[in-house]
Amino acid sequence: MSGYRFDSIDKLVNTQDGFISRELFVDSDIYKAELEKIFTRAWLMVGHESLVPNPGDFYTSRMGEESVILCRDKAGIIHVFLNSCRHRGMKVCRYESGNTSLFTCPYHSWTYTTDGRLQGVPLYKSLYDGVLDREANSLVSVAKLANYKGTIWATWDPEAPDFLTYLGDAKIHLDQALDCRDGREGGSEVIGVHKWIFPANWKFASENFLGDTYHNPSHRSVDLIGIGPSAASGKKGRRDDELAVAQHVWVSFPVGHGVHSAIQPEQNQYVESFLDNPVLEEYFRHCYEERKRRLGDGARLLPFVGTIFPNTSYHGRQPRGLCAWHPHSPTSTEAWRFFLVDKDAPQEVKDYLRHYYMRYSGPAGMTEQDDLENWLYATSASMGTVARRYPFNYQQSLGAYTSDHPLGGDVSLQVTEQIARGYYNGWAAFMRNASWDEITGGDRKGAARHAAE
Amino acid sequence: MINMLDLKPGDRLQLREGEFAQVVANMEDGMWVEVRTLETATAEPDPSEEPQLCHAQDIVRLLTPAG
Amino acid sequence: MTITSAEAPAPVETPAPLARNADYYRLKADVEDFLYMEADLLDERRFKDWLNLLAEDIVYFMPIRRNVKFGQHAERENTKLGVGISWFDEDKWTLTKRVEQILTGVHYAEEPLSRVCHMVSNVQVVGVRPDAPTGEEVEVRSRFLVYQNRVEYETYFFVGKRYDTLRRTANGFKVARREIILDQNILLAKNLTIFF
Repeated sequence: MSGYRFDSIDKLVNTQDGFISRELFVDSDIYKAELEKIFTRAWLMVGHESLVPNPGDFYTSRMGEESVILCRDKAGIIHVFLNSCRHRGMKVCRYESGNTSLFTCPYHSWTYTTDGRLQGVPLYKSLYDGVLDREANSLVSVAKLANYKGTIWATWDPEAPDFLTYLGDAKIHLDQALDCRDGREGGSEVIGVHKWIFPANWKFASENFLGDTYHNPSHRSVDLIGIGPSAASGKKGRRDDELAVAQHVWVSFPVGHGVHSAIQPEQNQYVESFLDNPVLEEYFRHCYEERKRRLGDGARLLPFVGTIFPNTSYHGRQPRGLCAWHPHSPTSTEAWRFFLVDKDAPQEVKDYLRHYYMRYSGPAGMTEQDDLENWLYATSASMGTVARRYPFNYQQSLGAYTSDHPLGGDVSLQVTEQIARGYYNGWAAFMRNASWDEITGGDRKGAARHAAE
Repeated sequence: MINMLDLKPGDRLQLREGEFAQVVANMEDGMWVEVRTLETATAEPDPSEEPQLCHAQDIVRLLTPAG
Repeated sequence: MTITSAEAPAPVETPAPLARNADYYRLKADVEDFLYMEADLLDERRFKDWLNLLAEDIVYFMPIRRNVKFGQHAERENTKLGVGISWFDEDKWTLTKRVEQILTGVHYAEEPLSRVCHMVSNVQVVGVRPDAPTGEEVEVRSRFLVYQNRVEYETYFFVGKRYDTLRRTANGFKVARREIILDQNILLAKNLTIFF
């Protein structure tokens, strides 16, 4: 067990002054403690219902370091199970996806039904009759599961608050990644998944997607050449222009969630954004107007990016998708990106978007490649004994936020590391085994008491 | 030794300890099939009987292919 | 049940093997020569010259490969061209953008530039279409082993197969189609900044 007790955690995370120890990004004891204290309690994104549309469909996923099976049983109910036989632990499923009636362990042939029950045990009568309790040897199931607008989330902690309580006021920001472009609720589908492994600590990616707007210069190369949806028409930059006149907001929420969204001016006009393709331009303009009609003043809030603590990030505009940054080791992360489109979008729109996603995102994406380079060498250059003595600086826009804003949380109107400071406050709370009440902001006294000690 | 993937519904099996069974469904995991037990090698199964899993190791031989 | 072929079919249709005669070996030698020259351009970082070897209508495709059950490989192992998300599903415009990005000098994932070595082997000509609408086309299979080393310790090996369509033009062969079958499931590299 890790030598880091909660009193030493607070020495590592000093968000008052804006310093965070490099140990968080390289130390193996801290990493082990994260797996135990964060990844067995927090709500983690496992997948999307569109990956398992039919009874018997399964999709193998991950929660933290561990392999899990997302599965729709024969009755249509969605489950998430640990992908490990109760007998000797062999993975009962090594396929990525498919449709099945049974998960049969290759080792000794114990077999489980799609609702997780241990159905078959070879030579049961002669070897196990009267001894083996099948019910008690089902596949290990998550404690709680939520299907939120098609996305599947799970936690191993039976005491965890329900998913919406966990999300808190971050909900309306995540919603904008999950809702239809025209404002209807939900309705997205996954059109493909990237999986790759990179040698950096998982928190670099999570933190980057909170809304680290400050790292824009590292994308200068892609901005210079232009790969956005108006690039072939001569526009530079890597994205669309829909937020061109919006007031950007960076919001830190309890638990450690953080988002970067934008608020359109009152007149809320659509900004031409897809010059390369008139069908897309027409479609997104139409969606924009429909969304205004449906949501009224609420339509002024437009999504950008965010991270739901600890390791789920979203890109709410294009390239729209959800990322899970799965920890692999202190200095290695397995990234999964689920690309989203509106299920009922016209085929031409879907086709354009998937091409845009591929050239922007992931290991072959012209934008994200530069992020990965940063995360790798930031990790490796923090491993040294001397390097670890010098904490990272998180002082940007220190104190420049309001906690009295209709969006809730701590709202900044300028580029800020307040969202990162909030993220590591949440991290520290998990690491010192804080109560759920304190983590979700319900027990502000508890948090204040802790801060005073 | 038979490849379980080759079994089809209707196939009759001789099991260990002198039992017999008929294949109801093959889930194609290569290890298990669903069967109903038979009184004798040629008897008809009781359709009201709940099918049960039968493991490859319990099968002595395939009696009659379903044809 | 029906067990379908566990062999993944070639992404390009496999015609009857060409007769091994003098014409075949001459063509094969020309093709090999072209592929080796192409590898030289990439390894010597002559990216603009490399772009000139690509047809204007090039299809450049690298599927994502998945772990599927026996019998489902032909149908489900590789993501499909034109559907969903792959590693690369590119045209000349995006490939040109990738080159432009490297040439900005501030594409940090390739700045400093990686050291890359393309090994091309197992070259076979599997088809010739003398009457293709845009000129004679040659279907070629090969294997690749691409070594990438960047900065100090970062090293990757990319190993797999290529299925190329080479088009004969007045200026020599142009790559009209390239399907790259990387023999990995989860990509064991942080980036795909190199060309295949």
